[in-house]
Amino acid sequence: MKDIKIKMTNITKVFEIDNMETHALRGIDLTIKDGDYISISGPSGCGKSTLLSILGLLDMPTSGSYQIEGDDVSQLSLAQSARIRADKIGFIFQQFNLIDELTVFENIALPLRYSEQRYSKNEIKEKVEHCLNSVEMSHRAGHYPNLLSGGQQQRIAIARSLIANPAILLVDEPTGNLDSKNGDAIMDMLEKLNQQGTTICLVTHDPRYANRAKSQYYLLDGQIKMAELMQEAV
Amino acid sequence: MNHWLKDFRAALYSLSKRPGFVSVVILTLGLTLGAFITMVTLNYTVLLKPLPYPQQNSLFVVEGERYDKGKFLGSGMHSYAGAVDMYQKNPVLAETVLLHYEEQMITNLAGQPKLFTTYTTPEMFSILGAKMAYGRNFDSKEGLGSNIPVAVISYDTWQQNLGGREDILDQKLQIGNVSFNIVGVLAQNFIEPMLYQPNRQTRIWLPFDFNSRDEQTRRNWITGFSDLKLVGKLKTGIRELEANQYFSTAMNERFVEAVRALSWGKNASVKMTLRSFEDIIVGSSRSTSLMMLAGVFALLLIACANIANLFLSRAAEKQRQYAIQATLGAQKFHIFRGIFIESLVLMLASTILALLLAKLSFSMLQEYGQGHLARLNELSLSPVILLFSLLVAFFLAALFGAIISSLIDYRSLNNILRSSGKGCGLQISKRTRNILIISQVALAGVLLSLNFTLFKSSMEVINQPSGFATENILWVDLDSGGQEFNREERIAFIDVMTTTLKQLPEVELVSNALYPPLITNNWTSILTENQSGTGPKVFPNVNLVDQHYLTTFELALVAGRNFKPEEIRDSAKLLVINETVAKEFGGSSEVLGKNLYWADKEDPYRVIGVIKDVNIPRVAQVPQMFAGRTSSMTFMITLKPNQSISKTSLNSVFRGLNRNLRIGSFVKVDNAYQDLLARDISIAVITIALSILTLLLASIGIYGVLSYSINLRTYELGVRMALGGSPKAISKLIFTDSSKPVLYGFLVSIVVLVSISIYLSQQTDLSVSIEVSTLIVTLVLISFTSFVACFIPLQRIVRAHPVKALQ
Repeated sequence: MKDIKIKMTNITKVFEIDNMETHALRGIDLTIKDGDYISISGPSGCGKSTLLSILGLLDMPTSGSYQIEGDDVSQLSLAQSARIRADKIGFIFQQFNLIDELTVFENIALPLRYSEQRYSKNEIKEKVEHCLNSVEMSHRAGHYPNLLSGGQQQRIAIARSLIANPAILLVDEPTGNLDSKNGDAIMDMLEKLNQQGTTICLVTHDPRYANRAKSQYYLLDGQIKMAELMQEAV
Repeated sequence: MNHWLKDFRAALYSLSKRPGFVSVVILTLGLTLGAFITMVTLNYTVLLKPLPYPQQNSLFVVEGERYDKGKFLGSGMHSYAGAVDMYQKNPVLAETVLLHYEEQMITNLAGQPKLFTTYTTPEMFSILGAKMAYGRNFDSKEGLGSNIPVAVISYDTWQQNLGGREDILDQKLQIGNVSFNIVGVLAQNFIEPMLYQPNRQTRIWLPFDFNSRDEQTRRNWITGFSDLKLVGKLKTGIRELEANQYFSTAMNERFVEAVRALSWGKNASVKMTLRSFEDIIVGSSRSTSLMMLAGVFALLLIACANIANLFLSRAAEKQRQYAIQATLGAQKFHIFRGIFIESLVLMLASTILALLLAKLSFSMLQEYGQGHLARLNELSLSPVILLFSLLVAFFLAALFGAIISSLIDYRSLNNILRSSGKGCGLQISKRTRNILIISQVALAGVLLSLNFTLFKSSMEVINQPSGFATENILWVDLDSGGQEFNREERIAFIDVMTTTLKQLPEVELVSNALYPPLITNNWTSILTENQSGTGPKVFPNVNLVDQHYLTTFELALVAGRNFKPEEIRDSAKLLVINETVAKEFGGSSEVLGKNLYWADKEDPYRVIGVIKDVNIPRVAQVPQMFAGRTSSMTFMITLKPNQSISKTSLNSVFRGLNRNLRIGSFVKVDNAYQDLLARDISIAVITIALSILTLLLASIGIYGVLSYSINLRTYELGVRMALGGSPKAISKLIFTDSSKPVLYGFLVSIVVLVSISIYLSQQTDLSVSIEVSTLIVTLVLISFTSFVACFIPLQRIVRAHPVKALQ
């Protein structure tokens, strides 16, 4: 029996803009187990990004229960959320989101600096080097992000997401800014990471990549539909 | 051209949509540029603009210097006979002029005003190239010895005292017993060279023969007068050194011959030095105006840093527009042109405001700066200044345009549209932002420290106790309206007046003396210990007083006693001196009872009292001696508490005694003392105003740059938060990042201040002390501003969920 990493029960998210309520998520139930590789897809405006934000504790649900590794995280303070993000969640963004003023090494080490756990210089160095090796970018440790190609930047972003050994990797359209060759390479890398035991939640609108996940979810009007619907939509 | 016009119209339209941005830029730059243009005009006038006289480089004042055993005693004085002799005989000046400065009551004008009069020889008008509004100036027949009573009046006198009447050349001016025919009115634009006192504008020019010096003085080769000037135009081919030598030799021969017989004159000598008009007129204004220019320039730099920041924010706001232009085929030059024209529109508008403010500042400087700065009457928005202002506007427009253009990466503009601007907006580099902050903090630190140095020195002068009473005391000088009195008659009359004044219910005390203790260098003389002239010599300020003088001004005796009434009555040969003089003769106790010799008087004067020194603003040492008594009809009237008396009612009291008597001058001693402090009060007010303006501008600038920087980093901070950065960690990062340039700015300001301090102490007499307290106050204030500038936008970011920052 695999451990449950993520458990969402009846999650809703309502935005109020100009006195108008917009229901972005309507009662999401989602369970992600250790070693899972799920994909969430859906049309534009279906709530994918909102769901990913709540999954990554970047935003709080309006109602419902959300547990990470058995702990309720649905009503945490900003500081508590930050701590959990640093220690348990890895992010990979569409725009890579590397910080221009930090070197590749510093970018990758960033989550360790925000972690509750204190790491020595040597430990940080060791971990960063290990992550760089795993994405085959050791030779670029001292470079600044703007000297790297899009594909290389995304590999650095993957290395950064892995550095704190997170409970889950949240991946948001990782190939959106890449050509198909680099996109495929990144997807291969994610698959490899999953095979090595990393739990991944992929958000994508590209069915080719969504299909590579072990489980596929389809989001429509703020609700998770059966995966078959996705096939129909395609 | 068409494209430029189109861009100009587009700039106007675009700016009309941002009234807040436009008003902040125009107000900030208009104000500081206005101050800058004022200071540039002042410095141009003082340092570069030729004097408004023909052959101004050949115009000189012959200055007399006095020496004793080769030791310099003083300058700027001539004996009457010596000055006239040099006027008549010298072979080195092409044209020579005598000037005698006075102040006279014009009895046939309404209100009998007391006006500045200058007695001169006809050459004065030709060497100054004076133009006339009416009539003529003095002709050669009205020269020295002619005794023809004619007068030339200034344009202001004609307008203000004679109502601008057309028949002005038929009018007369009554001064004492002489009636002068007005023969001309000087042109409105005539500028008198300020050779005597900085703020003294002659209202009436009269022939030299009619000056008030008596016959005895006119034959005197010894006594020096500072209100007597000898000026002239140097002959072509004669060098200054040759002229100095000629005058020194000629004058010293006669002086030594005359002074030899006197106790103190055995080792005395005189020397003559030619000083250019420019040197005398400009004087210390050169360094003052340069310092003011430097201060305002620093302020302008702070303002420019602020404006640069505003322009950068605007460029960031307009990045999408630039991207669309680039996509549609605009080249880098087209984008620069648009930015330049928008910048030019703003700079021109700011310059117009600045010119209006400069015009206003000229009037204020002419009103309040007279006496402290030279050539203020010549300040105007001349074509040179207008051209300069226009060039500054173009330069600033080009500078801001270039800065912004250099920050726009033309090649990446296309990407902005493709990525919807997410995460790749126009970024002002951290280096640029830091340079802006460092420069603002450094400039503010330097400016505030310099201001504080000036402020502190002015406040020390203002707060220094004068050492004598000034409140509720009137200083009244009477004019006898042409009626001649001999000494005995005057003394008898003074006693009657004193008794009458004392009977007035408002009056507490009356003292007959020449002037209050605040007057210095009006009459200086020499005191020696013995007739042979050996031993110490002192050159004190002389005042002739009565027995009530020390009580009137609450001058504290440190040794001895005051004059007794009978000693004053009998004009006893007694002296009261102050501590500075006493020190030269062995100290306050030792000097008591000592006989001292006063100038060329045969009998010695016995010292009966020593008073505490008084403090006169900006005068280092005031040696004073008091003797009895004066025959001058000048009174120090102490009023009872909460009482006042008007000039008119006092005038009627005097006229009741003698119908010819009238008040010549009526001065409240407290006001006269405040006038002496006026310069320091002005400096204190200006430095405070400048400090507030500096802090305000620097704060606005630092706030702008920091809050903009944080806004610019919102997305990056969102990423950091997504990666686990807690609100505390993010705040710490921002405060640390922001404090670095602030601290660097302070280090730069300290380095600059130390350099200025070293330079000034090595190259000039000025000194700048680096005030740790000022630096701390500046650091605290700017740190607080920086904190607020970070805190406000930061709260918006860290108090929301990271998703907001990532949107």
